[in-house]
Amino acid sequence: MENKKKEELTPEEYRKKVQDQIEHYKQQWKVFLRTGIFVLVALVAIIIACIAWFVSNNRVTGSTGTIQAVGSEFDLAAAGTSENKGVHDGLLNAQPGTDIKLSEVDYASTDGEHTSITWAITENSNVNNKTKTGINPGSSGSLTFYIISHKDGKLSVTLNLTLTGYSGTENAQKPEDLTEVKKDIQQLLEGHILLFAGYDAKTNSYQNWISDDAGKWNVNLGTENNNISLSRDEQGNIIWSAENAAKDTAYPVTLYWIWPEILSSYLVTDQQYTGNRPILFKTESDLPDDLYEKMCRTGSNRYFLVTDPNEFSTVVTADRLRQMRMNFNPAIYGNMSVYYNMADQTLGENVRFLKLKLDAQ
Amino acid sequence: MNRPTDEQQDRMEENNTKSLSQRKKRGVQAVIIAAAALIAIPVLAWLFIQRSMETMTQINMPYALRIGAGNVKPVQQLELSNIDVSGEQKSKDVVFCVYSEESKVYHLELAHTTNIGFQYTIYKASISDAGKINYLGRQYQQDELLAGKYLNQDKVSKYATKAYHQMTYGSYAGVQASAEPLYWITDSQESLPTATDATGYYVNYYILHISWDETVQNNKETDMVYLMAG
Repeated sequence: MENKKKEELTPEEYRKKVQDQIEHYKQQWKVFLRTGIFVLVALVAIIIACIAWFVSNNRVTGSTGTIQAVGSEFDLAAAGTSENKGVHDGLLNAQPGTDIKLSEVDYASTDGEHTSITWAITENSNVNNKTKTGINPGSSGSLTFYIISHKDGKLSVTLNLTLTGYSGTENAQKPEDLTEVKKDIQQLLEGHILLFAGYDAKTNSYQNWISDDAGKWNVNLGTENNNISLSRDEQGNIIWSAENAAKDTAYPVTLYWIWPEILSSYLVTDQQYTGNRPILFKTESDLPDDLYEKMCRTGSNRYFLVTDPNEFSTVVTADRLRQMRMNFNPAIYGNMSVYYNMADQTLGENVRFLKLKLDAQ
Repeated sequence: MNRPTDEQQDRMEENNTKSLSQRKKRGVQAVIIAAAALIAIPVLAWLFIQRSMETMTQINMPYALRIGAGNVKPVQQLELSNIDVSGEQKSKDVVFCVYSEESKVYHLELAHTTNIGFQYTIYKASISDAGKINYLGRQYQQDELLAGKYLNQDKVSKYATKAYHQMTYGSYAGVQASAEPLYWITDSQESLPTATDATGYYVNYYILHISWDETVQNNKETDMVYLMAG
């Protein structure tokens, strides 16, 4: 009989061997845990580095040259050249765009190396930042940007527009000289300096409000061939889409901004009550359903300066705001407008600079 | 030969071999998953295209529309109290101005009660050394009548109608006729000048001409008078 020569173990030796194996497995588990933690930390570090690289505007270079996101479906651009600078561009964390020409028109554009650029100034913008003139209640203007498609066919771009207020001295030179304003001031800024995607010069009124307090809307921008639309969905996403975009074509999108001088612009439908100043919500479809209720909040109010909530809530009510729309009463209106004017005064006292940023993805 | 022990040892070795290959498999799987994640995340980030544009401007203080006394003096100096009606002159002129740091348009409004029986008329005015009206150290020239109308004056009694009672007093009913204010407003909007004057402001000057007849006595009656621009 062939038997393999086996190690013959006594029961005690057998038990010891089992114990040794158990200890071995425990040691291996500890080693696995230690190694796993390092792997996890390295993974997190790489993820953070990727995100940091992606959101920064620094040029990324590889060993053989520059890395470009050659697969990007679109770029953003403004008409003109990178020479159209604003006097406060030094306060921005962005660089001038790349000068390009499409169909004999000059643009300052984003690209793979310049993903975050300054918005080239045009006359229509009226943001008065070619000099240190600035804006104040009653100011308004329009800003046009272009979506340059890099492909043929369907293209959809999600847009995000943010206004940010900063305090600082008049002589601020760089971003570090600025401080973001407090939340309550920031909210007043968002309720007083407004953005729209439509304006009717005949009626001097606005449509398609871009705001957290706005409702959903959809507007057609292009011809039937392209079927280009700009819309706001219920979640607040602003989406530009083209069914049949053409490669290397710049599609314009115009935004209208206004700092309403008086409260009645938010309320009435007839310019006789605004002294020929613009009307924000001329028709009922333009007026968000619950806007007047939101305007009466005693906390986190974007439209009125509420220093005494009890007094405010007896003067400004949703019913009274709505009443101005149907049956304007100058005495009631006068009492309510004080809170709006005080908010404007507060903005003038606390906000020195205003940044408008357009993100697209 | 101890067969049970041998069998046990064989099983142990077999188990060791199996668990070793299982551990190897798990180790290899973990490395593959980690490598896939390390490659996928930066690629996804690269593919997730984001572009942005931004601009910065300055915020200015709002340009308030203000009412001042005389030549852009504080409104507290606009004195309407203690008008002596016993003299031969049956009128008093008070000069006020509407001014701002910016050229604006506005309506001028006057509201007053009617206890005393004064008549109020507003004229446009201008600073002039040859002017006949002296107020707070300056001479003013009376210009044309400022066109406007009362919104709630009864044509017969000349007191206020009830048209704006609810707006003024709400549901309170015990209001005398002379305590019901008369509301007056310009027919059309006024415009501040397109250039500043010596004060450094854009200014329009006005004269509030207060007149009365013999029926008005020094009987310590009081009226409320409001001037508004907006």
